[in-house]
Order: sequence, then structure tokens, then C-alpha cells
Amino acid sequence: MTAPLNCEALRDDIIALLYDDGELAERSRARDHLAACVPCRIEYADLKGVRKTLGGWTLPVAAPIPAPRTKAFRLPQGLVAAAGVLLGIGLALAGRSLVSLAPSSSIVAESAPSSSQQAPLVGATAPQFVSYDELQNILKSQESRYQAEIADLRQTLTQVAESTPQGAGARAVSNLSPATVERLLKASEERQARMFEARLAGLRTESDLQRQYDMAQIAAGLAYIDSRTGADAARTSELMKNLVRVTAKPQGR
Amino acid sequence: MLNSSQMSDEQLVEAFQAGHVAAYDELVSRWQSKIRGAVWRVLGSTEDAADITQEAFLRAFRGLKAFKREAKFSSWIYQIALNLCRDSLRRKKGKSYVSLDEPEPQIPALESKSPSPLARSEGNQLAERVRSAIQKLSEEQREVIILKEYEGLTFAEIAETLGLPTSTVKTRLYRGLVEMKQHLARDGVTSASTIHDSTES
Repeated sequence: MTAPLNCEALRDDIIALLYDDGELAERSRARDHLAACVPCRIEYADLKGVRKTLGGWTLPVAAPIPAPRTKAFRLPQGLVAAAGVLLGIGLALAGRSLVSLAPSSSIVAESAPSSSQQAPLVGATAPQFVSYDELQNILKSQESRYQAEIADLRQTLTQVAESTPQGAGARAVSNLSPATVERLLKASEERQARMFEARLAGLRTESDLQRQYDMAQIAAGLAYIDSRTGADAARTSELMKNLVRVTAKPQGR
Repeated sequence: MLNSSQMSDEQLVEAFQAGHVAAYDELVSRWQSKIRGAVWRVLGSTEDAADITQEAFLRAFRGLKAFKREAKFSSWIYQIALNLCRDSLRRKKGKSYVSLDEPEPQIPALESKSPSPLARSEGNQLAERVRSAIQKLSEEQREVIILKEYEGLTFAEIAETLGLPTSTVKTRLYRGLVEMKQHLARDGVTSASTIHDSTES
């Protein structure tokens, strides 16, 4: 009848063995007892089972505060994926803007067929992507068209001057010498070139601004995600830091 | 000179008491997640866990100057947090503070390992049953089980934290585990281990 008493007395030792904590002698005693006592062995196994089951109660993810910001901070995978998606979208947007400016690849131009010519004119409506080489060709064709128009005008002027030297209309036109007309045309060409340059510069600025805006949005998104995870950790830390700061002042005096 | 992160708790406490108030920041960083985890398990509420953890560290800050370095800082801060938990539970007694029927508030899953929805659901069910069974334990047993099982404190550390002899800690632990077994069985959870002849080799 001493066995139950012995079992009771060895309970602490069995717990020590169960947790592998405490003195070696305790655990050794427990081992010896378990080897000889079937009910205790059964109970020991049951307690081990309970311990294993207890392991199933994990903390909710946000409950354990992640490493403080001063140490290496690891975003959970889900957040990394979300940040990656955001970053990807941002880069795609920014990249699209940048690609449109790259001289070697393609640039954004606005083109539409001229009413009189088949070659597209720079400076019309529907925007579309054209390559840099294509744009060069467009400009060249525009240049040659202007040259042709200038030649036509010259010819017309010469014909008018020859046929009606004293007509009223001819007089009005004859006030403009071929050199003046050429100068005016040149000025017009230059003006158009300047307008084209200005338009390009505008597009560049617009793209830059868009890129900056996109990056700011990504940064804001990341900061938001960051704040969601780090907020709990930061909360206590921040309060402590403030407290430390406030307390530190009188000591400095 | 040592970096604060390389210093032991005792060294940090000593530094704080010598006037280096910033040493406390490192102690907070070091212990806040553990304390918060323990508080959450005792109270079962994420929000209250945050508040009580904060309060515990504030109290520790106020009392650290007078802290005698005979005890470990960790034991002391656990002690403060558990006292606050007890106060909180007492205050809320009768208000069904921890509803045993309500499922545990779920925090958006951000786990590094993402189990299948089925596994997660089963895991959640088990976690809920364990949580429920632990809440049914007496305060004393619950504290000891949480400190041992989840916080990994040694018997000596638990004894220091709770101001008890180690034998009492072991007895409470034993009784707590036996009760847990009964609660879990009533809840339909069978023990994970059924090997009756296993002894530690």
C-alpha cells in the first residue's frame, strides 16, 4: 500500500522530468519510478500528450511584437508580396513614362494624317506610340513637304509677277519679294520647330511628374503596410522613448 | 564600451540606475513581445494585452531605480504584468471579459508559413479549444502553465516571478495539466501522445 504514497511524493520529480527542468537527481528518481509504476507511466504519457496539445495554441500573428525597428526588420511574406505587387505596378507606370522618353526606343508623338498629304503631321490629335526612327522620318517628310511648298509658292509668285504686272492682287503680292516670303516661311518653320521642342519638353516634364507621383504612391503604400505591422511594436517603444527623453532632461541639468 | 544590445539585462539595469536612462529602451525592446504574448494568453484580448504591456513597462520604469538586483529583470517585469492581469481580470469579473464561447479575434494572417485553409481551420479549432480549456483553469494554474509552456521559464524563474517555492510551482503545474487533460477530453480533444510506456531515455 505504499505505492500510491510514493507516487504522490514523486509527482514533482515527474513534472521535472516532463519539462526536463530541475535537478538531475529529481529526474533520475522519476525515471526509476516510471520504469516500475504502470499507472504513473500512463499518466506521464497523458501529460506529455497534453503538453503537445498545448503547443497548438499559437499566438495570433500580430500579438508577438516583431523585432524592434532598430534591428533587422523582416516583413512577413504576405507583406513582401503585397509590397512587390505595389512596387511592380509603380515601376510599370514609371517605366512606361520613361520608355516614352527614351530616344533609342520609342517616344510619344501626336500624329494624324494631313488633309492634303498622306504623311502624318506632328502636332495633331490622337496620341500614339511611334519609334524614334519613325519620328525622324516624319520630320524629314515634313521638311521635304515644306520645301516642296516653298518651291510651289516661288513658282506661283514668279508666274503672277510675269503675267499681271499691274493687277491689284498682283500688286499686293508683289509687295512681298521672294526673299521676304522665304524669310517668312523660314520663320514659320522655326516657330513650328520651337513649338515641337516645347511640346516634347512638356511631355518630359509631365512624365517626370507622373513618375514622381507614382513613386510617392508606392512609398505611401509601403509606409502604410509598414505602419500596420510595426505600429504595435512602435507604440510601446515610442512611449518608452518619450518617457526616457522626458526623464533624461532633468538629469542633464 | 559595450553596445546596449550586447549588454545583459543586469548590466542594463545597472546602467539605468547609474543614470543612463536610455538603457531602459533596450530592456523594453528585449522584453515587450514576450510580456505581451504572456499577457495575451492570460487575458485573451489583443488590445488589452497591448495596454497592459505598456502599463507594465511604465510601472517598471518608475520602479526600476529602486529595483534590487537580487531578482532578474525578466522575473520582475513578468510579475508586474501578471499583477496587472489579475487586477484587470478582477475589475472585469462578471462582465464576461473572456467569453469562452466567442472565437478568438482573428488577426489577418501574415504568417511566414502559410498552411492550407483546411489545416489552418483545424489549427484554429484546436487553438480555440486549448485557449478555452486554459481559461477554465484557476488563475494560479493558468499563470504557471503559461509561464512554463509558452514563455519557457524555468521552475526557478517562475518561482521567483510568482514569489512561490518551486515545489508549489510544480504542484500547480501538475494539477493544471491534469485539469487541462480533463477539459480537453470534455471538449473532444484527445491527447496528442498516447504512448503509455514512454519514459525519457
